[in-house]
Amino acid sequence: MSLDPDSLAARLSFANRVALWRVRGAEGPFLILVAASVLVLVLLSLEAPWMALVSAQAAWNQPPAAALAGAALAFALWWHGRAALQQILAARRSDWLAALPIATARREAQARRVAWRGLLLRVVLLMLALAWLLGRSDPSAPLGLGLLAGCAATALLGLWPGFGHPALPTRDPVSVPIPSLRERRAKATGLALLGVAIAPVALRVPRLAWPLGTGLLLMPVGARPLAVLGFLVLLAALLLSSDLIAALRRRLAGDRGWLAALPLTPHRLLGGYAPTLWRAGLVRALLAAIGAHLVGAPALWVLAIVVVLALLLLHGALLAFAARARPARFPLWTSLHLVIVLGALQVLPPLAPLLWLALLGWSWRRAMATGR
Amino acid sequence: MNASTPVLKVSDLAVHLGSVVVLAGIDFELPAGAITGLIGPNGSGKTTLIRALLGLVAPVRGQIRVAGIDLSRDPLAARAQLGYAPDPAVLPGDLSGRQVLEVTAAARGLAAVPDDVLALAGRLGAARWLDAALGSCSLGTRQKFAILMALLGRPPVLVLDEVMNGLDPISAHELKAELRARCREEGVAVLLTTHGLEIAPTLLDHAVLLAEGRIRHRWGPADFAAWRHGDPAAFERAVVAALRADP
Repeated sequence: MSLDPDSLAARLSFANRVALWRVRGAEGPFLILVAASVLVLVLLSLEAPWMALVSAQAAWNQPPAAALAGAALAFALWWHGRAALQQILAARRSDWLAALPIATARREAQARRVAWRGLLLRVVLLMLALAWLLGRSDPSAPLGLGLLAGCAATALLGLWPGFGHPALPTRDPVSVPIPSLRERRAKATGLALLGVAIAPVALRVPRLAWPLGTGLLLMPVGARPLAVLGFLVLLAALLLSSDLIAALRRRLAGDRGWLAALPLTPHRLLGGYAPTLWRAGLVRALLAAIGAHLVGAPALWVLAIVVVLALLLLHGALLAFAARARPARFPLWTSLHLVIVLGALQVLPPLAPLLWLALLGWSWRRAMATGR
Repeated sequence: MNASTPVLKVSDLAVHLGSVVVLAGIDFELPAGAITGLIGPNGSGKTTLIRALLGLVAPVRGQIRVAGIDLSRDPLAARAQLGYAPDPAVLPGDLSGRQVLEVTAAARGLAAVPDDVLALAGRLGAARWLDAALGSCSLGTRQKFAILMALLGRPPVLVLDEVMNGLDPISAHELKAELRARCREEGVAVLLTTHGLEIAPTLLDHAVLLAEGRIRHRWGPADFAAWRHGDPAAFERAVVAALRADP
């Protein structure tokens, strides 16, 4: 058994999680199956834009542009891996092992190994996806080779001892409220303060750079600049929506402990978060509408996109609220609902909206249950 | 170790967090074989002082010596002399109490959790939760495992931050007996922060009152001996009076 305390803790934690999954029976394999299905769907939907990207006359498929794309991908992956490492190092400054006699260099080296493994996993998955796409198109397409080279370069860069250096400056906690949060809190009262605690969108915008960059790469050559902008705005609306639900889940998990003993019905509790969710949802819906309009979608399609996004947000929020007592249920229910609706779309499309509405009703009932 | 020998010595310590002066001009010693209380209002700097003693926050001025070792020069060797009970909230919920102790033992260079710690777990009433995930345990049970982490390896200095919180009467009694025994038999020095002033006269030998980042008052064995045999509420009145007095 390794005597490195961080490695030992990680190993024990992993063994405990595996044991827990075994106890849960079919839940684990089901989630893996759903994740695999989603991955296949994503890959299949990427095939068409990929073909356009690697066509002989496409600008991105010319060697200089392909090299640039590979370098950009390598930089983005490296930046992501570095940020993950800094996050681990910052957490270790005050975790439960911080006061034990473990050499800082040893803990940093272990953190670097953890971050490197995470980076390698992302790189390998990306390379497998690229290999699959290359297999379906021209295997010697410069763009594909450039991106593969970018992945490989990042994996090698992660091995470099200087990876993650210099450490980002971390500050010890001082109880000073975030100004924007303080201002917003001053405007909200009562239970509406719960929703205000969901971090403001401005704090999350920088995280969009990487997926938006990837989205830009997928744009076909010759596309109108306004359409490109519209596509990016639409993508941003989707990403911010997903981020909003993730932020809501974190908030619900944090609030559960201290609100559990208060005489709050689920309706009133949901009402506390609702104003912020409405506002945030409206911003995302507006973004989606602007994006769809810029892409050139007809008015009816713009409306349809906005309605679908609003329903997706509502569904996500209700499921997050329904799973507030058992957060592990959220991915299970989300996957299940996704499979049902997408399955219906494949087999009997007219049934899909009805099924979706039924699932929304089910989510509402679960959300309004006591949650114990 | 001689009872008057300081096992931990803090000289002219100052800590700033950003532009905020959290601690200034802190001087105190932990004598061997004694329990010293660190008392102060909320926000007085107790937690920051403890973090500084553990080497988790860098002082802008001053020196901390643990068993003669300069903390800033050799933090690893100094930390090996310190036993600290972390906040139960930061213990990993997906590990069991036994696993947390195993990792702690590994960090202290021990091949396994010593028998005396497992025996103490039994006396604290934590033995039946040894193999339960800490996330499923009560605050009191997690507190017991945090205490066991501090005591594991028999370090000569113990830093215990509000460890009596959440403990049932029997566990609190057992912990006090264990601390007294370690002080008496091994010359261990204990620094104990507490807001529960009622336990102070029966448990403490020394006390340091911290307010607004500075030491406001000190009490010694003679004071506690008098309170122990006199009015049990006298210490509380003395603390309140010292806090209300002009700095």
